[in-house]
Amino acid sequence: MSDLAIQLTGVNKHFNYFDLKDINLELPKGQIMGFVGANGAGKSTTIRLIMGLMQADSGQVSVMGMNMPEMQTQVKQRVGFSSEEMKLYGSKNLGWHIEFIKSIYPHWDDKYAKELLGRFDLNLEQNIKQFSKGQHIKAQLLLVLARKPDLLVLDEPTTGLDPVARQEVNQELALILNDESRTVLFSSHNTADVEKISDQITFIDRGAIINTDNKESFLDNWKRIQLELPSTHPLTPLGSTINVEQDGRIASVICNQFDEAVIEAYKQQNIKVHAADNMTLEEIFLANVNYRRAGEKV
Amino acid sequence: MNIPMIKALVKKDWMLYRRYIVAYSVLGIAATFLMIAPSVVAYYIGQVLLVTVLIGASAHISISSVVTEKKEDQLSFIMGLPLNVTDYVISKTLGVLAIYSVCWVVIVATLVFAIDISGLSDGLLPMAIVCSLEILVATALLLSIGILSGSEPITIVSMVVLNLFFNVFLFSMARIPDIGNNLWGDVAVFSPTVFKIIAVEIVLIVSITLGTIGIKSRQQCFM
Repeated sequence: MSDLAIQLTGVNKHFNYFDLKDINLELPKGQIMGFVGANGAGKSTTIRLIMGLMQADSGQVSVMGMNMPEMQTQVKQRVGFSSEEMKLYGSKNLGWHIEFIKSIYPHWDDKYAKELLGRFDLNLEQNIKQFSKGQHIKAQLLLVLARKPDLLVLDEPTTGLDPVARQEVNQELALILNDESRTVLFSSHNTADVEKISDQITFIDRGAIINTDNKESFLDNWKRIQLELPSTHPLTPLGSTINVEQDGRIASVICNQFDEAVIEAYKQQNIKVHAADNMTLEEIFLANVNYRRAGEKV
Repeated sequence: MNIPMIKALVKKDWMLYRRYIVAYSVLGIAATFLMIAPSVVAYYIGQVLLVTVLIGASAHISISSVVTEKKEDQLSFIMGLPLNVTDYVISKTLGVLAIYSVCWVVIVATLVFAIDISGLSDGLLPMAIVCSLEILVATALLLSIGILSGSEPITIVSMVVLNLFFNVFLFSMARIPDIGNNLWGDVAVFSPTVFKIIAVEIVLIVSITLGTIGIKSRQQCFM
């Protein structure tokens, strides 16, 4: 039995104006992975391949140890999938949708559904077309979560939500962390959301995965070092530096494999080290994207 | 093939369209009773209304259940459920055709009953059945076009063409001596020609439906 909930190996998909290139991705069971990329980076396409909605031109997609899209019926029985573009039937109410989903998933948990209904402040009798966007997304999440899936795949679950609704959705996702058997893949271009709830983070840009690691490693390894140089001569970067910004004697260096030894090395060159700051996930993501776009390899 | 899932999808579509089916059935029955009212004007109004209801219901159910569902991204919601393309297409071809057939059967049965018991000539019966079946063929075709193309403009243009074809069909049938010459007779004449036309129509419905399932089933993914 594989310990991986999702495994993509050498996956390629060609479109007229976009290519998904050599995607290799692994999500171990029990982990929450944030899948981060700008709009049009390839997040939704990758997720469609994972869900068996689209066929890869080459490479292999395996979900819960089963090949996709061949085994999509069996896989989707165990996977809860929600996407920003999904719409429920506007002329029907949430109660009707619950009955429909309940008839399909034998593990539907009525108690949990009622709990979520209260927590999300949703009305069973209200027609879906009268729901706000936030209510619509929360209704979708309720329909996905109460079926108790082994794997949750959420494509941009918080996009377009107001801050309050976003916080509610994020809190619910964070609660899922308590259930260690649950695995979650969720895509977003909002790095703040991803930073709050993910164990693993994968960055995608222009159809290629540019970095993947666990959150702590990203936050520990990526630092911005503030330096004061003895002269205005251009700084010779040390260690795994991926970006240098220099203005006269003041320089700011970003490195992706921070090591205290680098600080010592700068000091030995008579360079004053003012600070080695932590970076936010957004800064790390942007640095990754810019570095890759500049044509270098991180 | 995931039969419980197909059943759940058909039930879902039935729940979505049942009140329209009831409304179309009531309108169709009303149109039929207009046809048997002792007035030529009422007869013609009833006839036009009857055809309009049958064709309108066909277009509404076919377009809404397939093309609009896709356009309004409800298909994305369905695609996430444990089913494959074949399950979906079976639910949309056989299922939606069956749902439409509920009002079709109610209306056509009422029409046959009304012709039989009223002063209308029984000779109209073969023509009524042949033309009603043509609408069922058109429904199967419209569903097929909607499923295969997934395009609203193509499906709407096809609907218009099929409506125009219905008029051509009506006149063509009336010009067939076995049907046209007996239209106003007291006896319903189900000649071999009439049976052949009915058989061809049934074969067409079955072929279009199975053909659509066959073509779409070769597609492994929804997108």
